[in-house]
Amino acid sequence: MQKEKECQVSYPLCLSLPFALSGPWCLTPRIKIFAIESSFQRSGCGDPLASSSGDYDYKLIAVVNWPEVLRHYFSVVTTVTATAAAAAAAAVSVAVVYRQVQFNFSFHFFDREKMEQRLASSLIMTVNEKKFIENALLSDIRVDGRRPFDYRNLTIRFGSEDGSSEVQLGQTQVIGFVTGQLTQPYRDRPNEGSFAIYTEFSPMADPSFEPGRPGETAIELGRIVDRGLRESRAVDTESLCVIAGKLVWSIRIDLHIIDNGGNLVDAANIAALAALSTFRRPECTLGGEDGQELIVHPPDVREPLPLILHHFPVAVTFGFIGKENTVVIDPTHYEEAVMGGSMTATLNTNGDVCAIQKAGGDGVLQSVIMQCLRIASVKAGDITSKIKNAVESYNTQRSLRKIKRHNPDQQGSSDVAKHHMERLTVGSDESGIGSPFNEHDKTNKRNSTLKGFSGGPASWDPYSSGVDGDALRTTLASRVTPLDKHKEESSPVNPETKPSPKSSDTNSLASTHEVGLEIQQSKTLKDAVKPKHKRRNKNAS
Amino acid sequence: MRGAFGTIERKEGKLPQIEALIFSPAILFPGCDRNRLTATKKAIHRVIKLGTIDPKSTQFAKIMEVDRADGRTANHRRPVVCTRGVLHRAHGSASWAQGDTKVLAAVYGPKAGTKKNENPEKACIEVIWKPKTGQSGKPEREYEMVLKKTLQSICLLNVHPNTTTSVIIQVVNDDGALLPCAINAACSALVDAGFPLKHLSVAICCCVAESGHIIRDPKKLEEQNMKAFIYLVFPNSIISVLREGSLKPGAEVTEHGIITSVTHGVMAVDDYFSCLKMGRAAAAELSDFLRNSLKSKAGNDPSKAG
Repeated sequence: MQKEKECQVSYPLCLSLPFALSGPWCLTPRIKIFAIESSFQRSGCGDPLASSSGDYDYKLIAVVNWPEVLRHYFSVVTTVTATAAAAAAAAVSVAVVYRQVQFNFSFHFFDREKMEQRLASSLIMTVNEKKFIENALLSDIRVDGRRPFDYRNLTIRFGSEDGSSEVQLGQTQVIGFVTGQLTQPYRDRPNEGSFAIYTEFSPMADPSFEPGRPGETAIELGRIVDRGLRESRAVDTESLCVIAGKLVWSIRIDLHIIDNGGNLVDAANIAALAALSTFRRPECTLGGEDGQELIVHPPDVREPLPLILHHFPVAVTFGFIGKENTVVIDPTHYEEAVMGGSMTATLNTNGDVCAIQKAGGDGVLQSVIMQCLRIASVKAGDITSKIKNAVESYNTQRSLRKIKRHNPDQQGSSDVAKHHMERLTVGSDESGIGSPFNEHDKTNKRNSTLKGFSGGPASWDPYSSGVDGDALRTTLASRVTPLDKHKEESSPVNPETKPSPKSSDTNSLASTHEVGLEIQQSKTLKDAVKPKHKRRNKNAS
Repeated sequence: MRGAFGTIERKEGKLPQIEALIFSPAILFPGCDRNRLTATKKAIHRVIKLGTIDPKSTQFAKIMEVDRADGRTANHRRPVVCTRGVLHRAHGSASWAQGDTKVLAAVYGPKAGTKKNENPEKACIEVIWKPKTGQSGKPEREYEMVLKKTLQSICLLNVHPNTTTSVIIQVVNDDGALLPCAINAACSALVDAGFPLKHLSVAICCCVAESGHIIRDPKKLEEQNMKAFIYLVFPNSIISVLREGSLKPGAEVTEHGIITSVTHGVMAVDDYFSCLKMGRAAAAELSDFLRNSLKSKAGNDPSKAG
């Protein structure tokens, strides 16, 4: 920073790299850099490009890039004016500034009153709070007890429909919905589908969020998520084509921010990925008399198809607080109010950098940027595995529900499950309530457990009317003796212990499984769920 | 099922006799699921206990005869999950799920100042309705208006004059009975925020089938296929508030009136009145649940005070 003060001249320059010139603008991978700034130690001006690194202090202030894969890092420092068009950059390149100035372009013309109202409801922090956060970071302590490079707890839940996800990252909550529609394709891409991202900063997330048109932060967030998915070709758009040139699938991703606890970009990105992974589109075939008619099969008739995702571009946000190049990952909204700049890096587990966004803010050393990218790749791996696990468990639950649908005899047990669920929530006062968080999750789990269980017995049970115990035992006796022993052990065991639905699912031994079923059928589903006093004890312990 | 009710109707029953019939194994026909019967038993109990439907009347038969796609009886509601304190930044928040329909409500306020056309001597309530996907259009404006008028009638508006309280509704999933779900969620969110209320509001939905049967808590497909459906909002049942024994024997309890009634479709006047009857009974049961669920949370989190 001292070197800055010595600087007498700083030239913001505009430079477009050579390989951006060739080819159509939208198709070739290219990097567009709006301006370059370098601060000179010497008082005179000199050609910044002619000299080598030694004498100059380069700081990365901002970079916006649109390549699919960024593999090189540039030794020159780039400055980008936030969201400004090329016209603004051209104007900037002419100007010469004597002091390092942060450009603050604001193209919004708003009422003075509105602005005051909005500022009044935005986060107001005292000087003490700000100083405390900065000082604590000097000793590597964050206000919520995390270390500088720790993420908050990530929870990914799914709704009852395909393509809806709910992500909770600490106190930040985002819900994502994915829907699809058949439309005409774009003229220049006749055999590719399309997708669009809509971000809604709901007024329930923050008192300063206004309803109506999205503000700059909302648009920026939408652009970051969109860039990560689109430019890196994470979503396979060619598989969305139905009839080339006429009908393609158009995917719409809606992200609703419902609670602003800081770091909305990461949470929104995870919500988008989770929703895309669980979305299913109906299968379409060409049929009819002349083979030209399009038939869209409803989900009951044919299994809907998932989207093809080549990789998961995960966004990792860093905040730069204070003057000592302190970096924190996943900033909370208090840290966001204090930080001088932020950078979002979108990476996947293959080691590709899909996008980097650093729009203005404090200048950061090159070495710090490299360190951040290395940390980001580790975090991206963690987050990707969490998303994949959540999606897998959702898919298994979904397939269990599917089995229930296909069996026509299922009506009885599904009613049973529903009535039982209803009895749980209606009969007693406490079961329908979930005021603390764990209660709510418990209800969810219970419902999901019940759902899973309702799919279980009838689907595998060939003897839907009941099993004759004696006949079963005679058939089993003809098999190998160890099985016999097992079955005898299990049959007295089963009436005593409450058979848990999950264990019955994964039970590999066919004999014990069938005997278990037979015994279960003489009981009711009531026994599948632990009695209330046992449940509560578990909670308390 | 029909066999079981035929038995009841033939024997002109006083209540104890009907109970005996239900419990006796004689009327269990082969293949009958014990749980299904238990649930139906509960439904009958509920209906008879509240005394609103005469077991001998044809209406009783009407209600019990309908078979729904998911196996519920006509008077059967979906399981309800109510969670308060879901969000951290909002001053009050609640999520209300009826079966698959799920709505999230958040409350901010009171903020200084009212809008231009509002009465500054009273508190003003502003409702923002966010649909699941797409832009807010005319249906959302209608929901906002209905919700605003409903909430205005349950809030004590003179406690904080010249202030605005915002209620924001986010639809998470819509599977029928969306507006009642939202009204219940908003009421729970207001309680979570500590907003002064006169009484709680309980919203239910019922629909009228082609055959004249009245069905409670329809799903989205049922709503679309029925002749008409109606959303009703009642105040919290007075029976749940009064202590037991404070009622003089023989005195009739007069409930408060209807706060809101929104109908879609065409229905006969008689059907409307029978919907009201069923709605009142349903609201009484739901208000018990609501009151108990709101009571159970220990106390508001003090760190959330703005």
